[in-house]
Amino acid sequence: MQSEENGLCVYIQYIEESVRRKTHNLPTAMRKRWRGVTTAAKGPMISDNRAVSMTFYSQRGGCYVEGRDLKVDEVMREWQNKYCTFDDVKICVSTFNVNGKSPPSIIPTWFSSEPNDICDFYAIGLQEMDLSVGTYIIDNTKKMDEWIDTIKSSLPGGRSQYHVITSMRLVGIFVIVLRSLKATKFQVSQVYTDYVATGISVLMNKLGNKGGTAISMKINDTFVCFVNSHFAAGTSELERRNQDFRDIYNQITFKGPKVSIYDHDVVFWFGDLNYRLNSDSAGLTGDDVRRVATGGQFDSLLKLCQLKEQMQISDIFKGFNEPEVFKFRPTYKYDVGTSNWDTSEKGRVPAWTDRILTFKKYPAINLDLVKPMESVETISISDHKPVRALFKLNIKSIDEKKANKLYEEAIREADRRANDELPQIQLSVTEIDFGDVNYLDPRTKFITVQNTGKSTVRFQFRITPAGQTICANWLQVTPTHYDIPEGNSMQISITVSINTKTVRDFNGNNPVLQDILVLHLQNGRDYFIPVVAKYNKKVFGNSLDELLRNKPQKTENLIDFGDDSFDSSIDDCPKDVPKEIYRLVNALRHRGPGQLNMSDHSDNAIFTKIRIALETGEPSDLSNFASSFMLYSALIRLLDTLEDPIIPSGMEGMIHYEFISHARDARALWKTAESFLPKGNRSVLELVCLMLREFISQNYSFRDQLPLWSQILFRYPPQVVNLQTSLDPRVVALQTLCEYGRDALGMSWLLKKVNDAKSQIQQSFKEATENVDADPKTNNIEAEEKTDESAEKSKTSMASIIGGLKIGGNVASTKLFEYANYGTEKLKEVKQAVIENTLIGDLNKEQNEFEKQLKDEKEKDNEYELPWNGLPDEVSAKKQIMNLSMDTRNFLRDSPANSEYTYDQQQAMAAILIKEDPNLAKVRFQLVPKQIKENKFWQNYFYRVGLIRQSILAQKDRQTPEPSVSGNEKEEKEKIEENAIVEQPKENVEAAKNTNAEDTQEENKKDDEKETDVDQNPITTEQPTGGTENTITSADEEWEKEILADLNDYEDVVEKTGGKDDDAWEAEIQELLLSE
Amino acid sequence: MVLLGESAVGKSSLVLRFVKGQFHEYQESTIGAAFLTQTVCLEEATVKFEIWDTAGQERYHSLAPMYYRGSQAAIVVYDITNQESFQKAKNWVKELQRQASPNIVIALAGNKADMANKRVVEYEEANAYAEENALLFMETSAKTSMNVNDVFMAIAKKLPVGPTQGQDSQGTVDMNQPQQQSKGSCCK
Repeated sequence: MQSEENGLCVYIQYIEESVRRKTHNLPTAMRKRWRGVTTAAKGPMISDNRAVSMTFYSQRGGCYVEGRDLKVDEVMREWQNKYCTFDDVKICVSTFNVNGKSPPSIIPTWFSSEPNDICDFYAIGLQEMDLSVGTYIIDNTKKMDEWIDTIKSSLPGGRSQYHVITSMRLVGIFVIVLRSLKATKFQVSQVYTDYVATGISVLMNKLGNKGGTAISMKINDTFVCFVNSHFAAGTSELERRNQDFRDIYNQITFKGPKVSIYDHDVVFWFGDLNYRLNSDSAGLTGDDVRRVATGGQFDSLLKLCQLKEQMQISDIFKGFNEPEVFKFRPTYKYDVGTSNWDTSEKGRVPAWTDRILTFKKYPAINLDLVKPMESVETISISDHKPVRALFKLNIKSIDEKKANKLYEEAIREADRRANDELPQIQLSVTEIDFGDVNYLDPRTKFITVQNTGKSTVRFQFRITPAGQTICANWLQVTPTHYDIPEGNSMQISITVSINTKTVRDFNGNNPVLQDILVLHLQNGRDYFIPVVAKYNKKVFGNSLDELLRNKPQKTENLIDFGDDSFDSSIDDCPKDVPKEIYRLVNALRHRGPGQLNMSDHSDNAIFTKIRIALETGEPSDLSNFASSFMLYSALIRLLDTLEDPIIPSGMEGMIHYEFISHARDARALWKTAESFLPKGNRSVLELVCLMLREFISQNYSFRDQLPLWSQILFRYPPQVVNLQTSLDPRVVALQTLCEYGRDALGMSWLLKKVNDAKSQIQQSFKEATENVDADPKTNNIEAEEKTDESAEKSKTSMASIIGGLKIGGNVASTKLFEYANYGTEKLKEVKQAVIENTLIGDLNKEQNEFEKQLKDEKEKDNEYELPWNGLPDEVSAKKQIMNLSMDTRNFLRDSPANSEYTYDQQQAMAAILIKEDPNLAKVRFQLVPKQIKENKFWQNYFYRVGLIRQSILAQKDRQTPEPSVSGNEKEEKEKIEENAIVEQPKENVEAAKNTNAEDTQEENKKDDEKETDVDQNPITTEQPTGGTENTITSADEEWEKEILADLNDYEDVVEKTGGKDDDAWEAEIQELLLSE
Repeated sequence: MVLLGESAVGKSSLVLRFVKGQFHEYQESTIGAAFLTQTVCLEEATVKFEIWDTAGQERYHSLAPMYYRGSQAAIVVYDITNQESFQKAKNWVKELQRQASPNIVIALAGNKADMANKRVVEYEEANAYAEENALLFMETSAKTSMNVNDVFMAIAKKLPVGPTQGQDSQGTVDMNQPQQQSKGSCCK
C-alpha cells in the first residue's frame, strides 16, 4: 500500500486556476473526505475556500509515490534503472466467442504447447459463454465452471500447472487470468475486477449481453489490466460499437490504486469487438469477400476493416496497438462444426471481429509481440474461431530504499526542470504610447511576441481587478489568446477606439487614458503592458460650457432686418451656442433637407475631416464641405458625446418630468426650458428645434427622426418603438417644441429666404408674363413648361416662407407676412398667366394649415386661464386658491378624479400657477414624486381649486362668464389671422381642396386621431356622482369639513371628469420609469 | 506564495537566490509577475512553493490582488537602507491583512542586510512591528544569501500541515485522484 505512516507531504498549489478547477471536479464524496483529512490536521483550521486551492497528500517520510507530481514522476521514470530491476514475463492472451456452446472437456490446439510458447500468464476472454435464458435471470455458474475446467485442461502441460488468479463474468462475457505455478519469481498483488454492461435499452443493460469485464493486477511493480469485451453486432451498428468502447473505457472503475483502465502501465484489450468490413462501400459482395478471404489476400480486406478505420479517424482505441498485417482468415462467420463460411440464409460477410489490442502508458515500457495475433482454424465448435497472441512484457521491481534515496534528488531535478521549462517569450515593446487619439479615429499598434522557450507557448490576457475585463473599454486586443509554436512569433494588435459610449467617461481637459494589460503565459509568468493615450477632447466628448469657453470672442451682430444680411459665416453664431454646433446646423440648414439622404453610408474618413474642420475652425462654412448625411451624423455625434445632455434629467428627474408633463404645450415647454436649462443648453435646443422644424416642414417624413433626436437631447436609453407602443412623452415634447418654435435665431436666415422668395417670385412672374406676351400662340407649350418650372421655384420659396413663419414666432411675423402677402399678390398674377397649375393650391393648403395652427394656439391661450380669472371676486378667489398650497394635506388627501379642467388644461394651468404661487412649486418639489405621484398631486389640487371656484360661483349665483381673451401676443395673432383670411381668395380654397385633398386630409386625420386619442380618455371615465363626501375617508372628514365650511354651499357642485383615469396615469408613469 | 514590496528592494533577487542560488548585482526590474517553483523538504513534510514575484512599481499596485488573493503565504520585502520602503512594507502588510486570505502566513524580510553601514531601518523597530502584527521576521541578504533559505523554510514550517501520522491511508488515494484522472496522460 502506498501510504502507511510517517510524515506527509504537503503540496501547495498557489493561484493556478487549473488546480482549483481540478479539485472542484472531484466527486463530492471525495472532496468531503479530503476536507475531512485536512481539518483533522493539528495545524490551524483550513477554510473551505482555502482547501480548494491546496493539495495535500500523505506519505511515508521521504518515500516516493508515483502519480503525485508529474514532473517528479518523469524524473523518477528516467532514473528507474537506478532503483529498479527488470524481468521479462510471457503473457498469452486469447479471445473466443463460443456461441453459447457447451465446452468439450479439452480443446487441445487452443494454446501452443511448443516449449518457447509456454507462458507465465494466460488471459482468456470468452463471449457468449452462456446464452441460456436462465443465465440472464439467475446467476448460474455451471457453464462457467465447465469452461474454466476446459481452459485449464487445454493449457500446455495440463490443469495441474496453473492456478486461477481471478476471473470476472458478465452473463456471457467472461475473463480469466491464470498463472503458471512455475512462474514463482513474479509477485501478483492488488488484484481487482470490474465490469460494465452496455447497450441501448435499459433491459438490455440489465441483461448484460454486451459490455466488458476487466481485471487489474500488479505483477511485481508493474500494473497490468486485462479487458474482455463484446460490442454491439451488425455491420451498421458501428457507432454503437464505438460507444460501447467509450462506455467501458470510461466506466470501468477498480477499487485498487489504479482506478481506471488508463492508469495502468499496460492494458490488454481483447474480445469480440464486432467491427466488420466495409465491403459494401468497396463494391464487394459477400461472395467476393469470401473468395478473397479464402484466397488469402488479407491485406486488401483489412483495408476495409471498420476498426482499423476508426482507430485512424476517431478516438476509438486511441493509443492502442495491433499488428498492421493479419496472416489469418477472418474469424467470423463459419458454419458450426466446420471451417466453411456461413451458409445460412443470412449469409454473413466474413470479418475479423475477434481482436487483441495493447496499450502502454509510457513509450519506455517494453512490450514485445512474441507471436502476433493468429486464429486457431482447427477449432470449429463455434461460429467464430478463437484468436490468440503471445507477448513479452518487461516488468519492473522497485527497490524502495534506493527509490526513496533518489526521491529528494528527483524533486530538486524536477524543480530545476520546471523552472527551465517555463515558457519564455520576448516582447517587442514593453509599453505602448498612442500619443494623441481622437474620437472615432481608431489607432492600432502591434506587439510582437517571440517564443524564445523550448516548447509551445500559450498566452492569454488576464482579467484585471479594475474592470473585470482584460482591458479598458476604449481598448481592443486581438487575439486575446494564442498558441505560439517553439521558435515562432506572432503579432498582437492593440487598438484604441473611442466611441460615444467611452468618450463620456473621460474627464478633464485632455484626459490621459491609461490601462495595463496582463499577458499571462500558461504555466508561466505574467507580463504587464502599460498602455497610454491622450484623448483630444477639443470638440467631441467635451462639455457645453467648455465649448463655449473656448469660443473665439466676436462681437455679436444684432439681427439686421435689412435685406441681404444673411451670411453663413460664424459671425452670426448666437452667443450661447458653441460655434461647432452652429456651424454644423448652419451648413445643414443651408443645404436643406432635400440633400439629406438617410441611406447614405457613413464614411469615417470624411467624419475625421469634419472633426478636424470643427477643431481648427477651417473652413468656417461647412455647407460644401461634406454630404448632408455626414454633417448630420457629425452633429448628432457632437451632441451625443457632450458630457451632459442638452436637456439633463435634473435632480430626481425633475426637469424631464417638467418636459413630460407639458409634452403638448409648447409655451409651457419653452418656459420650462427657460427656467430650468442653462442658457447654453436652451440656445442649442432652440437652434436644433429650428432646424428640425424647417426640415419637417419641407419634408414631412423627417418626423421619423424625432425619436432619435429626443434620445440625443434628453439622453435616455434607446427604446424599441413599434406601432403598438406609444411614443415616449419626451418625443412628444420635442415634437411640440419643433412645431411651435419661439426663438428668433432663424430670423436673419428667414429674411434672406423671404427676399430670395420675393425676387424669385418677381422673376417667375416676369418670365411668365414675358413668355406669354412674347410668343403667346406659336410657342405655347414651351412657355407653359417654363412657367411650370418657375412656378415650381416660387412654390418652394413660398413654402419656406410659410415654414419660417411658423418658427419665426410673433416678433417678426407681421413683417414677414407683408412679404407673404406680397408674394400672394404676385402669385395671383402668375396664376393668370399659368393655366391649370397646382401651385396656388399648394400654397393655399400651406396657408390653411398655418391658419389652423394659429387658431389652435389661440385656443390654447384660452386654456391658460388662471382659475380665479373671471370669477366674481377675483381677489378673494385668488387668495383662497393660493392658500391651498399652504397645507400639504390639500395635495396628499385623496380626492375624486374630478376637475372641471381636462388633463391638458390642468397641465397648462399648473405651469402658470407654479410661477404665480411660489409656494406651490415648493410644495410640489417636496412631495412629488416622493410622497405622491405627479398626477395625483395635481388631481387633488385642482379638485380643491374646483371646490373653491364652484363655491364662489354658487355664492354669487352667477354663471361663469366666457373666458376673456387677453395678452398682446394674442391680439397680434388675431391680426395676422385676419390678414390671412382677408388675403385668402375663395377660389383658391376650392383649388386646394381639389388638388391636394388627399394629402391634406390624410395629414389632418393623423393629427386628429392623435388629439382625440389623448383627449377622449379622460372624458370616457366618468366619476360616480356620489358627491364628495363619499370619497373622503373618515379620518379626513373633519379636516375636509373645515375647508368646506369656509366655502359656503357646495351642494350644486357639478362634478366633471378631468384628467386621465388612474390606470392610464399609472401606465404612463410606469413606462417613464422603466425607460429611465 | 507571493512577494510584495517597493521596487528595487530585492524581491527578485531573493527568489533567484532561493531557487537558483544566483545573484545578479544589476537585476532587471520586473515588469509583470515572474513565476518560479521550488520544493522544500522539511523533516515532516515537503512543501512545493509556487512563487509569484510581483512588480514593485506603484503603477502596478492595483494588479497585486491578482497574486496575493490565492496565496497561502507572502513575503513582504523592504530595504534596510530605505526608510520609505519600510513604510511601503507596512502598507502591504495592512493590505494583506485586509484583503488576502485570513490564514495567510506573512513574513517580513528586511533585505540588503549586507549594507549595514547604510542602514536606516533599525532591526529592533522592524522586529517590534513584526511582533505586533504576528509576522515572521528576518533580515536577509540576497547577495550573501544570508537568511534567504531560512525565511522560506520558516514559512514552510508555519504553513498549515496536512494529515498527521496514522491517518486513513485511503486519503492518499483520493489526493492522487485529480492527477490520475487527467486522461491526457493516457493517450498521448
